[in-house]
Amino acid sequence: MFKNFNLITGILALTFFGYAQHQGWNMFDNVANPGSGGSGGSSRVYHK
Amino acid sequence: MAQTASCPSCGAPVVFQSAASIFAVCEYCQSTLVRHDQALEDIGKMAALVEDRSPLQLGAEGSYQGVHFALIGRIQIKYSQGVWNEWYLMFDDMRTGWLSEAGGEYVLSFIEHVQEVLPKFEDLQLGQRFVMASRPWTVTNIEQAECIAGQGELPFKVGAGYPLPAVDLRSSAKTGANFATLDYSETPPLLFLGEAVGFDSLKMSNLRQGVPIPTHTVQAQVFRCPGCGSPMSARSKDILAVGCASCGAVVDTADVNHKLLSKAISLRDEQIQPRIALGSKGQLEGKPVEAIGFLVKQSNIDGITYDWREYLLAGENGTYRWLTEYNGHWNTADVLSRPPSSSGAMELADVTHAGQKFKHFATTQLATVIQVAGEFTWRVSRGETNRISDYIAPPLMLSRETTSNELSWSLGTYVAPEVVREAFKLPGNLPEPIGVFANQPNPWEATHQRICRLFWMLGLFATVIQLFFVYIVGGQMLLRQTLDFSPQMAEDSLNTREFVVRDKPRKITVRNSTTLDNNWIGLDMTLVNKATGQAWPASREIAYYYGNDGGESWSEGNREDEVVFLAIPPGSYYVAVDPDMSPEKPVPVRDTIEISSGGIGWSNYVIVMIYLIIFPFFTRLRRAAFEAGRWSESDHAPVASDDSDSDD
Repeated sequence: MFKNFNLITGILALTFFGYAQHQGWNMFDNVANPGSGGSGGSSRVYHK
Repeated sequence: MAQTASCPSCGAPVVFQSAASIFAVCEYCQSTLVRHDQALEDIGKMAALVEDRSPLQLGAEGSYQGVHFALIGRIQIKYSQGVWNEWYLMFDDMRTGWLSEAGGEYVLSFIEHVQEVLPKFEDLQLGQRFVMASRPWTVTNIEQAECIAGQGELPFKVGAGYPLPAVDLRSSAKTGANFATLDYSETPPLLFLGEAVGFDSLKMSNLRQGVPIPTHTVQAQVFRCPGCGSPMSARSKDILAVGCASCGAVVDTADVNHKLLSKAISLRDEQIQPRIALGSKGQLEGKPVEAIGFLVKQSNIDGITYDWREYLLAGENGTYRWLTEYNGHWNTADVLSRPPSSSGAMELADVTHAGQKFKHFATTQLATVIQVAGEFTWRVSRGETNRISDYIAPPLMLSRETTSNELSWSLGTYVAPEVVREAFKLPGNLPEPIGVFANQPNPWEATHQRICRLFWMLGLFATVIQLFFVYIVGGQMLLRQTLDFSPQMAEDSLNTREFVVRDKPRKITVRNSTTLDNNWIGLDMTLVNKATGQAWPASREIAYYYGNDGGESWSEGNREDEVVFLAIPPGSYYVAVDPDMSPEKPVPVRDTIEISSGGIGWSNYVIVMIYLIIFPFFTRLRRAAFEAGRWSESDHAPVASDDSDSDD
């Protein structure tokens, strides 16, 4: 049980890590639009 | 070549197979015969042999180091704890030797003629170490033994009552002889060198029939306990003491009147019941055993009384094993024929056995037998004491037991209660072990090793993933452009050139590298999708100051800055930059703006590695806690802080 628990949580951690890297998440980034998801939220229409 | 003569007493043929034999016992009339050239002298009747459990007999054959031998003579020797056999061997290469058989242990030795002066009997002490015949030896047994009977042909004259002071020595030398006996029945003493041998290794044949237990009951004695009248029995003359299971009295079976070695236990004292009933038969490590004896030992350390139980198991071919139990922890134990080697002072120094290092754990100064039940091969009695030093290499434990005249080593192996229960088919479960036993295997050791392996494997995967994103996926430079900001720009903003974000929503990194010099600049940037007008604003202030204060250089801030836009959809973009310049220092500032997509950071890698290392860290702590529990019961427990020891 404990053996599988370690393995499963380890694999989940790696999966999440891979996803985060794929998304380009970085804890130390200065994010201009922190609420952005895949829909490109927190933007506005630009007027000169 | 064998010589045959007639027995002067009965006329029966007496065969001398060895030219070295000068003495024989007629197998028909038990006359003791001494050979004088061609004649035999009858010097009286030889006492009858004490029947025992030995699987050997005259005429039995075997092989040692590839040379065939036969058993042609035997003497029985009585010592403080019983009787042992010395079998006289004749090898095919005409050598003669001795096979010592005591308590299921076999030692094969040959007489050794040495030039050096051998130590005197009275000069030797138990545990004493000295060099003899170019080997280090330890005195393990000192006995005032005596011959009680003989059989077959022998190289010297013996008879009942023939004194045989003897000292047994053991050597930890890895090769060659590791056993020696100094026989003080003659002057100067005789030296026999040899080694302990496994019964199976001798490939014996023509053995006595029906000896292997459990069916073996040679001349079993049945008698009544002198203490309470309960029926008692001894399976053979090999059994020298029997403890009454009813009243706890211990009886000397070798005494015709069955005298008491220990009186019955007082009614006030509660008897401890053995968990394995005496007479129980089972299969321990694949070999048949029978529990024949049970004793309880006790020691008192710092006012705390500890007691543990020991079961004597009879095995095949007259061998014996032990099972010990303390607080639900079980060990099998076998007596060692070769003592471990020690690196220093015997008690506290680590010892080595079979290439494995054992750490000193504890020394029990006085262990006392408080209860005896069943059959024993020595004259055990209640109140008998010994000194025990334990050395551990879990799951193994070496125990050095010292009595007044004997030093012995045994090797114990920790076994789970289920193994014992299964071995003897005991009903119900045995009590769960309490606490940590000296040689109990650390259950976290294997777990920790496995978790460490898992950590390295997953850590390697994480590294591969990280390197893949850094070097394979990586970031792509979309635009690099230099912008010059001047104080005169006032409210004007500058737009970068267009760049294209392809395929799917991406992370866009905008990096500004300025030429600030003790100055600051505010940048209001807007990432604009040219087609839709959708915009993502970001305000940054970049400042960089430096100087020299009292000869010490200092700096503050950074000329560079980075801001990230997440999930920017594909399309053509540009960045509008509206500078806010310092009114205190209105100088032009050049900004190199780099826009890239992707870009992999290391923070996630660090976080996942920290997460993964929590597991081996946890198991390492648990492993250490188990070891702390183990050693807290030892002579080497960490000293606890005590207020009374303070200097205050």
